[in-house]
Amino acid sequence: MLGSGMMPTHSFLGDDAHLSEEAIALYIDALQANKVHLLPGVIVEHVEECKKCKSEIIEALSLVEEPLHRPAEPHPYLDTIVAPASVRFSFYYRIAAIFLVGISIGVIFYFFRSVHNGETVLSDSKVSMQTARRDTSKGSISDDERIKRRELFADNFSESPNLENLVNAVSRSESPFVVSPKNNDVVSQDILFRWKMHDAGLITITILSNSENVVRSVSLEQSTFLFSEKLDPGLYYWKLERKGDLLYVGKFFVK
Amino acid sequence: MTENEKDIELLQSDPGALILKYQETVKIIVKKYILAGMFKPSDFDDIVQEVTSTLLVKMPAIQTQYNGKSLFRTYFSVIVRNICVKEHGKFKKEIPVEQKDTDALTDRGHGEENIFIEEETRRFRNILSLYYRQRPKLLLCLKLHYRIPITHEDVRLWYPECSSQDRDTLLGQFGINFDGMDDVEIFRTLTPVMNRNEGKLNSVDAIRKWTDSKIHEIIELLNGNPQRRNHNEETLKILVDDFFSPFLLEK
Repeated sequence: MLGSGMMPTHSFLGDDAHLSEEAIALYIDALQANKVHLLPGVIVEHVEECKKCKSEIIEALSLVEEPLHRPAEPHPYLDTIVAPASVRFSFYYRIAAIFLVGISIGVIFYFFRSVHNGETVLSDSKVSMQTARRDTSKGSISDDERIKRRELFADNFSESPNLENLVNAVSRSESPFVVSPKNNDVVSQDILFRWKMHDAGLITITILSNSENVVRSVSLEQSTFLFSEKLDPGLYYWKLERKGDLLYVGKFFVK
Repeated sequence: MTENEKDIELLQSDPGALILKYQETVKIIVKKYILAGMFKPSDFDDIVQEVTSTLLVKMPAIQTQYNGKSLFRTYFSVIVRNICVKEHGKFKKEIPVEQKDTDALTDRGHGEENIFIEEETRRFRNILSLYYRQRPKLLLCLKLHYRIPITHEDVRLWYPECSSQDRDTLLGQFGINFDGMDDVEIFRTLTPVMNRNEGKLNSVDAIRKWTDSKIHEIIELLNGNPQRRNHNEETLKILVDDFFSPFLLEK
C-alpha cells in the first residue's frame, strides 16, 4: 500500500508537469531504503508512466549509489510514515527494549562494583599515568629545536607590512562587496571566495602568503572562486584587481 | 541533531558553508561525468568552479523549493547532476559509445568486465524497480518475450488469485521450453489469462505492443541520457537471464 502522501500534489510536480528535483531525490531515497511503497501515489504513478522521469531517477541514482560514510539516521519523510497496524506493535517493543537496556546497565554496573575495589582502580590509573609520562619523554626534541620550530611556525602568522596597510584601505566607487571570507576569518580546506560587483567584467583574484609570495592568481568573469589546494597554517592575503587597478585586499587565517 | 538537520540549518543560515561542505560531492559527480566522457579531464577545475558558481546563484531558489522531504544530500546531488548536464552543452564533447562496452556482457570472465556486468545488472534492477505496479506484468512479459520458462512461483507472485485453470494454462504452455512458439501465439494464449486476472479487456495486439514498448524503454534507460552504452535486445536478454537466474554460475 502506498503512503498517504501528506504533501499536496503540486509540491512534487514541477511547472512542466514532471517530477520536481526534490521528488526525484525522494524517489531515490525510497529506492535505496527499499521503501517505494511509502511514497505518495502521485509520485509512483507518474514515474510508472513517464520515461523522462524514469531517466532522471536512474541517472541521478547512479551518482548517489556510492555508500556514504555516515551513520544511518532517520529519513525526514519515509521514516515518519508507519503503517497503522504496526504503530502499537512497535510502541510495545520500544517499551520492552527500554526496560531490557535499563536492566542490563544495572546488572553490568553491579557486577563491576562487586568485582573491582576502589584502590585497585586508583593504583592502576597511577601506573598508567606514570607509564604514559615515561613514553612521552622518550625521543623528545631539544629545547632549542622546540623554540626554533615555534618561531618558524609563528612567522607564518606574522603580518606583511605592505599588504596589511592595504587591507580595507582601498576605497573606490567600484570596490566590491566581499561576502567571504571576511577579514581575519579562520578557514580550513576549500575556501570559497565570493564578492559582489556593481558591473561585470574580468576580475583577477590573487592569493598571497604573508611573505607576499603568490600562491594562486586567476582571472575570471564570475564573482566566485573556489580554492581547493592545501595551504599551510598561517596568515594569507587576497586581492581583487581589474585591468591593473587594485579593488580590494583582504586577509584570512588558515588553521 | 542529525546530519540532515544540520544541512537544513546551514541552507538557511550559511549557504556558502553548505556548498563548501558538499564540495567533495561536487567533485565526485564531475569526475564521474568525466569518466563517462561528458567532459574532458582538463576541464575538471573549470567545471567544478562553474558548478559552484551556479549553485550559489541558484541558492535562493533552492532555499525556497527544498521542503525537507528528501535527504538534502540526495537533493543536492540531483541539482549538481542537472547543472552538469546543462554544462555539458557548453563544454560539448562527443561521447565515444563503444560497442566493446556492451560486448563485455557476452564475454565474461575478465576482472574489469565483471565490474561492468555488475554495474549494468544493478542499473537494470534499478530500472525494474521503477515499474512499481506494472512490475509483475512486466516480468511475465519479459520472460515470455525471451522464451524463459515460467514457474509455479512466478504465477503465484504475478497473479496471487489466479484460478487453477489459468495457472495450468500458463504453466502448460510456458512452463516448459517454448522456443518454437512465435510472439503471436504467445500473446494469443496470454492475453485472455491476463485480462481475467487484471479485470481488463486488452487485445492481443495491445499486450504485444505494450511489451515491445516497455522493452525499448528499458533499453533506452540502460543506454542512458546522455548515452553511455549501446545496449540492444540481445544484451538485454543476458541481463534478463541473470535477473531470473541469480545463481547462474559464471564461466
